[in-house]
Amino acid sequence: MASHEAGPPPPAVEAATITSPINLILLALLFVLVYFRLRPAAPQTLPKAPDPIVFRTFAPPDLKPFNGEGNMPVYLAVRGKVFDVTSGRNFYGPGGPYENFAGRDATRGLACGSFDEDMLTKDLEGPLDDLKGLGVDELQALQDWEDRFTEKYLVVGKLISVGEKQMSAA
Amino acid sequence: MSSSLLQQLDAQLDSLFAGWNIYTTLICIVLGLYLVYPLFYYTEPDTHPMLLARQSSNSYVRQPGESAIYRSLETPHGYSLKSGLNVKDPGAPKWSSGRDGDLRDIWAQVLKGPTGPDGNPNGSPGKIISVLGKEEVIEHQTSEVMHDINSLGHHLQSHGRRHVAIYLPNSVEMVVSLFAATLYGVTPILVPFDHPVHVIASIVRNTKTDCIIAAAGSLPLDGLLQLYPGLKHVIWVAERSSRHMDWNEVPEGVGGKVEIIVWHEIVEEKRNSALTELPSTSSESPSPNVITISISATDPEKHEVVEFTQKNLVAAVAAQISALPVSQRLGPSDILLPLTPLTDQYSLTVTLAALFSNSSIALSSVSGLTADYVVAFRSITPSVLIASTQTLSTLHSEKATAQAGLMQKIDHWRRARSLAAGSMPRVAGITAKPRLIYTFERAASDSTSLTNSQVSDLRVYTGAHIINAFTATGVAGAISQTNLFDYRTCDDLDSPVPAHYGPPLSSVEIKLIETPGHKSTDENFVEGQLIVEGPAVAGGTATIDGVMKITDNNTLCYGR
Repeated sequence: MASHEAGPPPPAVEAATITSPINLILLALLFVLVYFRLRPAAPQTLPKAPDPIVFRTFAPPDLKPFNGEGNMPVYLAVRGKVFDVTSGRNFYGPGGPYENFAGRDATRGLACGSFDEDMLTKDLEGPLDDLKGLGVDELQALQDWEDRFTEKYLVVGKLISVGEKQMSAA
Repeated sequence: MSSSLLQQLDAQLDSLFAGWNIYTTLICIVLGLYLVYPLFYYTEPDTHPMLLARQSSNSYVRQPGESAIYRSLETPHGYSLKSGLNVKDPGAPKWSSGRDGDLRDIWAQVLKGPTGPDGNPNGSPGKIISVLGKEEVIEHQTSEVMHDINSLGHHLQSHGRRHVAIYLPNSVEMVVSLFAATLYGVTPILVPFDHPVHVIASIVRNTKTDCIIAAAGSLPLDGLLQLYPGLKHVIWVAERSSRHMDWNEVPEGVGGKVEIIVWHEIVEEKRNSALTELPSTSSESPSPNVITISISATDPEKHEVVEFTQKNLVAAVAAQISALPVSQRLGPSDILLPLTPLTDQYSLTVTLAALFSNSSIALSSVSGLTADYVVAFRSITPSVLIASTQTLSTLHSEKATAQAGLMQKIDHWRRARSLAAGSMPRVAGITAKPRLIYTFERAASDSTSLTNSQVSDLRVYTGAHIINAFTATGVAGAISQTNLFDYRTCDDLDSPVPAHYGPPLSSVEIKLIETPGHKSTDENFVEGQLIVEGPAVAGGTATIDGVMKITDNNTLCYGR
């Protein structure tokens, strides 16, 4: 008689399984996190600094293109030393008050304190300005300017005349 | 009725979460812990990683055919290189720059002991410790050592010696001889120990020295006199156990031409007089040059004689002192043990730097370029070591083969990761643990090189910071030296190259030049022959054989 009274079979208890979908998702998440943490990290680097400028021997025609036009750097020469004055582009670059000096030998102009065209050597192929006719005051002013430039700007080359350059290349 | 997209998604989520069971809870707990754990156990790197990204500064202009000039970050371009110890005389104003100083000032600092910022002594002076094998450790007080220095100095001065060759293993007598010579105006010549007599004879002949201080029994006197009859004065340093022997015995046929005397006789005879003060030489009188000899490993018949001025040496010592980060500098609580001979000029420079910083130094006579690492820890626990690459390479291979088990390998891997992240792993269980090991490689010698990954592994095996230096015979101290906190290994495991040597020290500046076999092709010239200039270089400038390269971090390493 007991067997007739047997009710519906008890509901099947699902065995607790480790492979249920949510478990698999969480395990995958765990493995992904472990991988990212244990992956070897590349060492931190700084962006590469600009390459050092190569010291160059200029003759006046070589120096002329460096007057700031078309993204060229601004160079000027004082007593044979060529300075990179690109950081002073507002003064020495195109449109600045001293733009006549850019790409030229500015020695006489700085000594006399004038930005006129006639302070620059006209003939680029000829010898450099020999500073004739400059008095003691002007030479002193020139020395002061040269010291200021040496403190403030980088020396990137030296200026010699076309004739000297051809002789040394020969 | 068709359910909307959201209702379908809801149904999917419900069925997903219906599968939640005990395992899910466990996985969630593990995940939560894994995410939260670093918040409590994160260690910051020992130094900022950006500081290791560019370790030296380059000049902005370079000459054609040469690279830019590279200098240490402590001495930027436009300022002078570090040239001396900044010794302030007692009466000098507080903020004056001090003078360069020389070895006499180093010894004066040892006698003075550590001083606080107000100039008052705040500790006892460092000691010089002799480690005699496994038997004995003798601590020599500075007053005792000063007495010996004065005795030896007076002896040399009274015999009118101008040069003295020092042929001793690492020992307190060697330190005494060096300082006695420097304090009393005699030029010391440091001769590497344990070489055949004909090599020693040619060295003393080339340097024209007539006096030698040698370990008793290390040189056959008659053989030496036969090869070099110009020798006039021999001082034997006898060990305690062999003092009873008659070292004064003169070989036949020599007669009275050679004066032979034993060390303990010089030192004992003035035992009663009070000789514990510095000699009263003024600081203006020049201190003598120090001559170092390096014998080529490949050809023992050839040796190179380099004469360093006192200015070279103090520039190198000052650069060594400031090359360490402030928190890790040598101090009164350190004991330095050189496992390399002090006749090597880099080991000598580091030892002088330790003495100037008031550390104690321990000298063991079994030091040498192939000394065993465990020798350093017999009877004493040094905190700083100087070891050769040969010693460390042997240690590395021993430890690497001993680590066979999986757990050990995992442990090692965990610690190597900690190093790569920039922090020194805390290593428990190493009994003999120095805090710092100096190692160095000499240019143009056939010494063993360590690779980057070997150096990193050695940090884990020894539990110590390792500094790898690049030295050359013509440059006092090191040319360049790795940053103490630089643990990076940028190694290609398939083609290991020698480890990099770090940025140049503050007493030198370096540049690379084009050689006939190696023309510059790059826009930025970074590989070529090395030229070193500065106050630490004998003769002002030195050229090093071999192709070197500047890496992206502005450190020096071997080129291809």
